[in-house]
Amino acid sequence: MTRVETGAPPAAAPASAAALLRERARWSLFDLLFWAAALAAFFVFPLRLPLLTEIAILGLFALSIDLLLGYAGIVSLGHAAFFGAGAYAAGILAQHGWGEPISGLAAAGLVAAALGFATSFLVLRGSDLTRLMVTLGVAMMVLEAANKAAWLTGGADGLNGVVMDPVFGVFEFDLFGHTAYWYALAVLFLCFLAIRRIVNAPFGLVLRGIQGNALRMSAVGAPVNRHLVAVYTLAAGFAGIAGGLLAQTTQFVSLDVLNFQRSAEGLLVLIIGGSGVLYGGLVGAVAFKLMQEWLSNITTQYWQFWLGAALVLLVLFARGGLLGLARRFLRRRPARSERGGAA
Amino acid sequence: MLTILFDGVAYGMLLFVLACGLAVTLGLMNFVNLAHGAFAMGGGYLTVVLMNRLGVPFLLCLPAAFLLTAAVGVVLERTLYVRLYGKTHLDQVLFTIGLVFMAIAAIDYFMGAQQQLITLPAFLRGQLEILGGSIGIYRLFIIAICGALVVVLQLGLSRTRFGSRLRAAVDQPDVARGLGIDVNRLFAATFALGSGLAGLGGALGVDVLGLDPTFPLKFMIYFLVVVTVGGTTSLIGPFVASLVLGLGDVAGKYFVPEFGAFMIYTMMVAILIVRPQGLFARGSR
Amino acid sequence: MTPILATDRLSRSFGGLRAVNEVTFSLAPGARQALIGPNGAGKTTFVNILTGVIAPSFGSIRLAGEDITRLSRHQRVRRGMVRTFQVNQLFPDLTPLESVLLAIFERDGKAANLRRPAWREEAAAEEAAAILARLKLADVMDLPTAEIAYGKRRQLEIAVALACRPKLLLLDEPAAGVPDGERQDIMAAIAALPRDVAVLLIEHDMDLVFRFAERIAVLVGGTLLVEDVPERVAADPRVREAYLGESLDGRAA
Repeated sequence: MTRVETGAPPAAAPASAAALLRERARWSLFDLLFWAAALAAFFVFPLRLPLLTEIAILGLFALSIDLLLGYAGIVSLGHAAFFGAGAYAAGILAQHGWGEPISGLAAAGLVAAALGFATSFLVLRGSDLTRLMVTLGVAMMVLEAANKAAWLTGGADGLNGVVMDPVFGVFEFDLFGHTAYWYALAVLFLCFLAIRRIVNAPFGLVLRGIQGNALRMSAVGAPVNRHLVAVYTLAAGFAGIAGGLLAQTTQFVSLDVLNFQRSAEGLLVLIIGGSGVLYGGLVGAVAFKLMQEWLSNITTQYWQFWLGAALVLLVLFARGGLLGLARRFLRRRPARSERGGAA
Repeated sequence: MLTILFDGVAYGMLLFVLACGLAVTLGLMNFVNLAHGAFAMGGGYLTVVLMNRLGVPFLLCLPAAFLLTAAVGVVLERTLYVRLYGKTHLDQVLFTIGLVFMAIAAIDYFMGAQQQLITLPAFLRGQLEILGGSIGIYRLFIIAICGALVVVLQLGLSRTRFGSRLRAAVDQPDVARGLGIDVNRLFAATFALGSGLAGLGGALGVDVLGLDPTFPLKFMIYFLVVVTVGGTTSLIGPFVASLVLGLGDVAGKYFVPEFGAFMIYTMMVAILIVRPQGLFARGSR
Repeated sequence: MTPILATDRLSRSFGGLRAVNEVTFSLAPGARQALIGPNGAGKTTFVNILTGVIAPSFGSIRLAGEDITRLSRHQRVRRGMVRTFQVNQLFPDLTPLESVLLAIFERDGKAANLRRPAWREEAAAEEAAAILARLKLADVMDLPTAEIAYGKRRQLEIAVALACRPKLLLLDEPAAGVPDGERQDIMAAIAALPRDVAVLLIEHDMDLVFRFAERIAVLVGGTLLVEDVPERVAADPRVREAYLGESLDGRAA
């Protein structure tokens, strides 16, 4: 962040290269503040815990999209398929008597990852546009399947009778949502740590490389398709965990978890916060849910209009999202050097 | 059997008229317009309002739907879309999804969420008995109109000056600019034409496809399939893709109703496995 | 000694046109060879066939004795055939350090690692820094690639390729578009390439070719016209004939 751009000694000592890399991967004050605020929210807004839990789940969903879109540059219109697969996996397990939450969540992640792996081979093919169609098509297929398989999923009536055991056998899911919030926040934090690790590992460089220039990636010997399968599977798995969390904390699953609006909402959240940055999805989720609360108080039914308007305006004026705006503000707008980007 | 064939062809041709504008904007401007369905919806609602509230005859509504959505298209193109041409596909996708949501909510607000119905004029209702099968007269009407449009579009593209400029701009945008073709005006005109056709398709489709505020989302996948499978380099590709899709969908719903919408998804996946670049891809793109 | 690269009657036609016609050609390990030819001679097609971008219609390619004709692009790179691009193909948002590191990770099979932080790979980071220093990129190694000067980006093309530890390096017009002032740096970088790496230089700039190459191959109309030491290539009447029209045109334009 605070590198000096000129006057650095030309032959930097080799030892400093690792230090430069490490500098970027450091925890900062922002990290501390963000998670402290998440903890404090429990005490400050004890009556809004269900909303806070929803924010955590949405944040995780957006984070999983960030891995795919912000890092690897894959545009998906159907990420809800994996969210929904995870939700149904966790819900159906609990409905059939397997109420232990942590193993249920792991199952949700695995089922979604398996679906992601299976469909990733379709997504590899073709251009951006083909990807849009395939991701959207796969999601609609899964939605249709869940709708038709009413004996398993409850179809349009939703999946009822989800009963959860206490977390660690101790903490019951209570009416006020205390346990639910702690549980969701803990899962979010652990997944955040995992994703943070991934993007700071060599694989994170690989993802940014693929987004930057897939042609050059193959010219440095990278098996681009294999990398893409890996990231698609991972992103699907994390989305599945988010879906599983929703099923477990609300003890209900409806077809809504799979619909297009959910995929679009995830994208919007990420764009609000800023894609390609770890906190983009999380900050976006907070902003999005607060905006939704506020708007639906004013216009209960038509807040979707404002959601659309937000997308349009963000694309036109604030492509970096809130975090991008914040960063620009903090840097006090240094002269933007975009010389010869295409040359 | 004949009925299914007929319905499928009518449905496919309707899809073509709805989607060909998207193929052209994509091929010409490399712009992913997911809001294309919103223009179709606009044409549909326009027809509903004109017919049911103002008593305008159906046949007059069709050109009105074409002209008005074309006008709206040109205004949006000049004010909003033009800012997005240089941007990434992701930006275009997000932007147009935003427009879709706005259109859906706006229609919901003004017209309500229910299905809209129109009463077709008497001479378009009823069935014809041909070769032992019964054929809806309105289906026949759709086929006639869309078929005529296909011919006109194809001739227009291959025979007129506008068409040759358009083809030049699709194939070699830089060369076209160098030749002094005003690509911007060409874009605007094409966008208007594409939106207008979508509007016309929407108007024709009210009775066949149904019309409610979720229309643009419901048919987004169909449009994408037509364009990705058919390609954007000619009109023939999307046309054949539309027919295949229409026939497949109608046949699927008739023969294996329990699979419902799976038919088109299965077809889509199968085609992509065999021909990842679409049915009519030229070379490697 | 096994040649590092050997093509056998390599051909590719597009429609009726033979872009590359039965090119049989070999390179010794550590060779310094240039490939020249007038515009449209099939140089680009030839490089694209070698690197696996397009498949040959006929013929085979061996790299260090192994038949690689059917291998994918990244598999050829893994086996030691690495190229640079005439038009920069870099990672605009990565820094030069990250770009080179990425190539090292892929080379060492560490790229799929999800757990170990990249900065812990100190040996790789040191190697990357050393490569960058050798190509005079040390002072910009922590800036986004999109923000560094064009000449530096040409150097980075070579740095990224070197990080793959090539046995055979295909340099596709490395000095293309570089202003005269910075040309020396590119030439120096090419002259300083490790001796054990065979280099095939595809170039228009005859000054660069004759300064660098120990042997020169001339491709005309998709066919290999001559392959010999520079003096004899320069003296060859057929080469003069093939080039005469073009170089006159080139000067006039």
